[in-house]
Amino acid sequence: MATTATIQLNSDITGDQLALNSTATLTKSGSDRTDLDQYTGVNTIQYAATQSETALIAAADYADTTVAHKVYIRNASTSTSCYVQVDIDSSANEPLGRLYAGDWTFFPWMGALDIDITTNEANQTVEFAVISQSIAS
Amino acid sequence: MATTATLTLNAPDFTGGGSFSVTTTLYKAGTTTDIDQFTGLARVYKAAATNNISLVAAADYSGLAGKLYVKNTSDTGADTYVLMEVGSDEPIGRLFPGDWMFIPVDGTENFAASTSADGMSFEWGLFHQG
Repeated sequence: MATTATIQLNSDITGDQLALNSTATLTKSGSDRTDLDQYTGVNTIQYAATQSETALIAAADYADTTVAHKVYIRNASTSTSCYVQVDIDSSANEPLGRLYAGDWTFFPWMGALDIDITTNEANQTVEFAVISQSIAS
Repeated sequence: MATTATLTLNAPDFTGGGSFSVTTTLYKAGTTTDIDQFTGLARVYKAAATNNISLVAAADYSGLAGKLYVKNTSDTGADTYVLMEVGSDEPIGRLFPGDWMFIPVDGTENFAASTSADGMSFEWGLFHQG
């Protein structure tokens, strides 16, 4: 069986209610048949102190560019005011945005730039996983 | 009803890769007040490969708890992709046909997409707070 990621989005913001369901089969770059062959498992980290641009996923550990890696990150804390800011690139630190309590993100990653996080409260818990290909296609 | 987003990840070929699901309710930053603005889902078709198609202009949004959904809806070849970029053309990753992503947006950076081949399409929508 292949690895799959499904998103369900439900919203009543607009008059025409949104009920979206989409499943992606996670395959290697340039192939619709060959499955991704590496998985970190779901890691759980509790940070005793706030973090500032701390490396969560290091590009040096992965093949890059012609790849189809996928990254999952979740703010597993419960405090309403706490957030995990996700940045791309340890040098430029381009922020994607903030994950508030319970928020998750899932996105493709080229493996060329580090993924860093910043937290704003002590004792925050972060989950992450990387599904990747061992060799660039 | 609010806006909710659920991820189900199933990786049965890996040890410990059993199916799990996580659901979040989209709130305004630091509150339990529902996000109340949505661009709707836009479908973009490009007859030719196109670079830097602007999706989110930071100047248009100020809220810190936005969420961006993008899906490559193309039926082009498996080696074609939608490259997602943030800020100063920093690459996030490549969405191959059928791939989707759901990321936080804090209104400080632009987000753009580039299509790698002719005849590609994608859809996107932004939930935000202003």
